[in-house]
Parts: sequence; structure tokens; C-alpha cells
Amino acid sequence: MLSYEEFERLRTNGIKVNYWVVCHRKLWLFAKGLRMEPLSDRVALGQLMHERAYPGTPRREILIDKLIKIDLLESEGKVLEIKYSHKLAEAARLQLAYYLAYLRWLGAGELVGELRFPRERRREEVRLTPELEGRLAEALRGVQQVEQLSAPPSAESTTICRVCAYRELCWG
Amino acid sequence: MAQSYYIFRSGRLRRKQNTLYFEQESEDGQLQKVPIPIENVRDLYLFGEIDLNTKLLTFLAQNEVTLHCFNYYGFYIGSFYPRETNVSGYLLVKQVEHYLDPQKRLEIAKEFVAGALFHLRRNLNYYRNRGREVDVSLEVVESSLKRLNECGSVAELMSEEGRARDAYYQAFNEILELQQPYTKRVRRPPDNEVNSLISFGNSLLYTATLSELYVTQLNPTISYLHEPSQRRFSLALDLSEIFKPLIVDRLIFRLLNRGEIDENDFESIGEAKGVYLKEGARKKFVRVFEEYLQTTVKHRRLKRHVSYRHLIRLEAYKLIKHLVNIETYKSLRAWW
Ligand code: SF4
Repeated sequence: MLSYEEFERLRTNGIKVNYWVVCHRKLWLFAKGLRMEPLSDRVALGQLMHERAYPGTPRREILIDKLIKIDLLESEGKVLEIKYSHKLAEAARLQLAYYLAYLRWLGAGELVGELRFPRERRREEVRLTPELEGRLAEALRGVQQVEQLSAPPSAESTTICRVCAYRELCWG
Repeated sequence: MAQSYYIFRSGRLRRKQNTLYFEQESEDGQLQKVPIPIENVRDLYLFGEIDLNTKLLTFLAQNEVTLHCFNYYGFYIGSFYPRETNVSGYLLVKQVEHYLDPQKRLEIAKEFVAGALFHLRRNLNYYRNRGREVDVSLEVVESSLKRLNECGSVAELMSEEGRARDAYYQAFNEILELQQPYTKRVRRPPDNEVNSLISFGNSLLYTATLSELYVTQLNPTISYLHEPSQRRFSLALDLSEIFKPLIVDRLIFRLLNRGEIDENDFESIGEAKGVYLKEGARKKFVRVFEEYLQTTVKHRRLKRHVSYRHLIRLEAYKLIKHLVNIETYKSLRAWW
């Protein structure tokens, strides 16, 4: 578990935690302001899905410290994270764990998160276990390391690249 | 899919709620309104006399639409390039660093010229294989290409390119069936039909390149081959060098040789020595230009079809990769 001091120092954008799991190069490019997401159809699709999914459930989106944007399930006090596909579930899990930890640092206590993959009708509950917190701490330290690199990390063409918004930049 | 909209008529462009309208009074005094779906608009080209206000510009900026204006004679006047929302301070620093270091600048500029000359040679070879006498020009371009690596400054590079281009333009007399021999390239104002077509085509390409640059985080005012002071968006000049022979020149050869545009499509205005494309021909040119940009080729690395227009975007990405030290820039060499 991170100390409060370390958390203060490592505090970052939630999406970076996600990218750290997915691809270090993607994280580096994103951190340098080279953002490709607005161009990607797939990202647009994800946003649309996010807006349309679960219309009956009362939810509230909150932007905190301009760093994390959480989607709160009002009735259950759960933090929701909706993803297009479970392929990158580990990235989504850590991103959600980060939100939970962040909220706890702000004094919100022990919250529970839920990952949802509406296309696949899957859900997964996420709680901050010591093990998950350990992985989160590693990710946060990793994010900072990658951001400080003076050149982008090398990358290999993997199946993730096929759906990545940076694909044309990396491989075109 | 984002599109370019070309407006040749005169009238008013207006924002009404969240829709863009082109309004025009018809002959019987009725106001005709044509809605243009803003989410489909990449950029707008205004050739007619169009009224617009800042409310409209605000709307275009919100939707990240660039606007390119041409005057009555079809000369490019300027662009409305909305404030960029998607900037990278890091990339800007890198762009400047590569400009300030003469070696780094030369390396990039050389690739722009190499790509341009490669395509000049490709055009000449194409016509040589069809029996045209272009050997002399071809030799000059070849030798310029070979000398590029010895160029120690951007100025030398420029003069090498100039030499190759002169020779290339000489070959136009072989490639095109002209009544008057084509002597040399003259801009502002162009002094003959071929120059007029080249000028018009180049400004269309320049604006298309600018629109592609807009979606990247590259700063279009920092350039390597041209001096950044040469034009406001001189990086668009740099990049379009590579594509001019590939797109504009090919189009001109085709239009003239098939007789789709001929002497009757030009006029001189008053005393001014200049040859202006008549509106009908301008429309035709714009239409084939747009079609041409949409033609696709199979991309070897991406393993899918990409349009010529998209190749311009990919060129910008390659430059970004060079600047942030992912991969050394190698300009496009048409492989198809
Ligand atoms: S395309 Fe592949 S290597 Fe490039 S950022 Fe995306 S995942 Fe990483």
C-alpha cells in the first residue's frame, strides 16, 4: 500500500494507469500530449456505448482534481467502469482500483467498484485487496518511470496494436 | 466520414442552432437554404463571394473545421485555421530543436527533397516508357538525386531541387501537346495555361495538407526545407513538395492530354498579364482533384488500403516519429 506522501507524488490521470498495463509506448506518447484518441472510431464507439449503456440506472459522472473521472452508481454507491471488451480487463481493473484508492485518499472510505462489459454481458466486482493494491502501487511507480523516459519505449507489434488508436503512428 | 465541401456560388454561410446552412437568393428572390451536416465537414473551400460572421467562425472552430478562401480568379487567399485544442508542448520543443540544429534540419529537409525528386523521376519514367523523349530531363533529375547526400546546407539542397525541377518542367513539352512551348515556371501571376494549372493545383494540395496537419499535433509554422517565415504554414509547403508530382502534376497531364481542359478554359483579365482558369474548368479541376485524393493504394505496412489524402496524414505521423526519436524519417516513395 502506498503512503499518503507517495500517493501525492504519484497522483496522475486514470487513463495513464490503464495505458501502463496496455503498452508503455502508448503511455509515453499520451503523456507527451500526443493524443490520438479523438481520431479513433473505436474510441468514439466506446464513448457512445458509455453514454447509452444502462439507461435505467441512475448514474453520476464526477471529475475529480481534473485527473480522474468516475462514474458512480447512485443507488449502490459503486464506482462503475464500462469497457468495450474484456480483452484489456486487467488494465480496466487497475484503472478502477486506482479510482477506488484515490477516493479513499480523499476520505471516501472503502468503496466497491464494478467493471462492466455490456457487449459481453459480463460484470466483475473490484475491491481493493492488499494484492490488488500492491499491483496498483507498482503501476503508479511505473507510470512515473515511463513518463520520465527521454525517448519513447520500444514496442512490438502485438494484437493490441490492431485496435489501438496509435496504430498508424507506430506502424504506418 | 469527414469531407471537403467546395462552394462556388455566392451567398451566405450561417450557423443556425447547431446546423450549418448555405443560403442563396434564387432568381425569383426566394431564399434557398442548404443544410450542411457539420459533423461530416473536414474543411470548407470558398470560391464564391460569401458572407459570414464570427458566430459562424466560432461554430467552425468548435467543430475543428478549417476554412480555405480563394478569390474571384481562383487564387488562394488564406485559411481560417482554428485554435488547436490538441497541442503537445513536448512535440513543439522537438520541432524547434530540429529546426535550430543545422544538421538535424538538413536531415529532414533532405528527405522532403528526396521524396519530391523521386516522384519527378517517376513521372518522367512513366512517360519515357510511353515513348516520350524525356531522357535529357531524366538525366538531370537522376544526377540531382545522386548529389543530394553531398548537400551540406538547406540552400544547396534548394538549388539542387531547383535544377531538377527546371529540367522536369522542360519535359512538359514532351509530355503535353502544347501549342506554345512551355518555357518556365512562373507564379504570381502565372503567365500561361500550364503555370496557371500548376498554381491552382498546388494551392489545393497545400490546403489539403494543412487540413491533414490540423489533426496532428505538429505545429504547421515550423518547417525545415522552406524557411518558417516564407508562409504562415510553411510545414504544409514542405510536406506538399513530396506530393505535388504525385498528385497535381499527374492530374494536369491527364486533364490536358485528354482534352478535358483546353485553351478555351482560360481567360486573361483586362491588361493584367495572367491566365485565369474559368469557373467551369476550376470546378472540373476541383472535382477530379478530390477524386484523385480519394483513390487508394494498398499500404504495405498497414496492410490495408489508404487514400492519397491519408498518405499525407501518414507522412505527418512519420515526421512526428522522427522528431520524438521513434524512427528515422524516410519520405514517401510511391511503391505502386
Ligand atoms: S500501436 Fe501498439 S505499440 Fe503503438 S501504442 Fe498502440 S499498442 Fe503500443
